[in-house]
Amino acid sequence: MKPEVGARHRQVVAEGLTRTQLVAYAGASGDFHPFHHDEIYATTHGFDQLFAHGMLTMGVTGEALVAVFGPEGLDRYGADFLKPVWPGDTLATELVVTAVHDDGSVEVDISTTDQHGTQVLRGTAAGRLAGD
Amino acid sequence: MRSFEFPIEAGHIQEFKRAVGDLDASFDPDAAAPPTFMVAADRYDPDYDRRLRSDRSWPPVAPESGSGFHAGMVFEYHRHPRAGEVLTATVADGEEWFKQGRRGGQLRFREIVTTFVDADGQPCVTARWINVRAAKEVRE
Repeated sequence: MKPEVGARHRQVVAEGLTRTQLVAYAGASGDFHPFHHDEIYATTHGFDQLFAHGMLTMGVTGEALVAVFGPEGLDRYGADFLKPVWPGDTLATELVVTAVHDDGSVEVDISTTDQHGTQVLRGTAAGRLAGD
Repeated sequence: MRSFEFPIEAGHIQEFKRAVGDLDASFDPDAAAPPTFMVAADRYDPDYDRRLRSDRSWPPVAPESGSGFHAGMVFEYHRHPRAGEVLTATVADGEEWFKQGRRGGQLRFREIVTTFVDADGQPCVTARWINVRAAKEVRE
C-alpha cells in the first residue's frame, strides 16, 4: 500500500471461520467465556448459536495490518465490535489511508465485513508502512 | 489497581498467531508479539474470571445480570515486545462516559486500562478494554 491518502488494501482475513478456530483462540488468549465455545450456553442466553470473541475478529483483522505495517510498524490500533461473527463467516478487511504525516507515518481507517457485506468491526490505526 | 507479570513466550506467540489466522506460523524464539497479543496477558492475571477457577462457580456471570459486553479495544504501542521478555502489567479503571443507545436507552461505557512496562520500567504497550452496559442496570 502506498503512503497516499485514499490508498487501499483489501484482504480476506478469515474464510469459513470454524468452531475449532474459536476454541484455538480461547486457548491462546485465555478467554474461555462459554459464549464462544458452548452452543447450549449461547442459545440459553438468547443467541442463535455460539459466536466469535470480539478480540478474535480484531486479531484476524490485525493480520491485514501486519501485511501493510509489518510486525513492528504500528503505533496504535483501535476497534469497535459492531456485530457478532458466527461460525462459517468469511471476513474481509479493507484499510484506507486517511492521513500521511511529514515524518512518514500514516493513519488508516479499518473496516471488516462478513460475506453479506455487513460491517462487523470498525477501527483506526496509525504507524509506519512496511518498507517505507 | 493490580499488577502481575506477563512472560512473553515464543511458543505462546506461535499459538496465538495460528489462532488469528496465520495457520502455519512457525516457532520463532525472537518473534515480535502480534498486534493484539497483549490481551493474552489475561492468562497470567490471578483475578481473571473467564477461566475455570477453584474459587468460583462456572459458567461466569451472565450478561443479563449486568456485567455488560466487550464493545471495543485500543492498543497504543510504545514499542513492540518480543519473545523472551517479561513485562509487568498494571490494571486500573479508566474513563467512563454515557451515550444514547439506538433503542432509546442510555448506555454506560467504561474503560479498563492495562499498562505494560518492560524489565527497565519503560512503557511498552497500553491496552484499553471498553465495556458497555445499559445505564439503567448500573443505577439499579
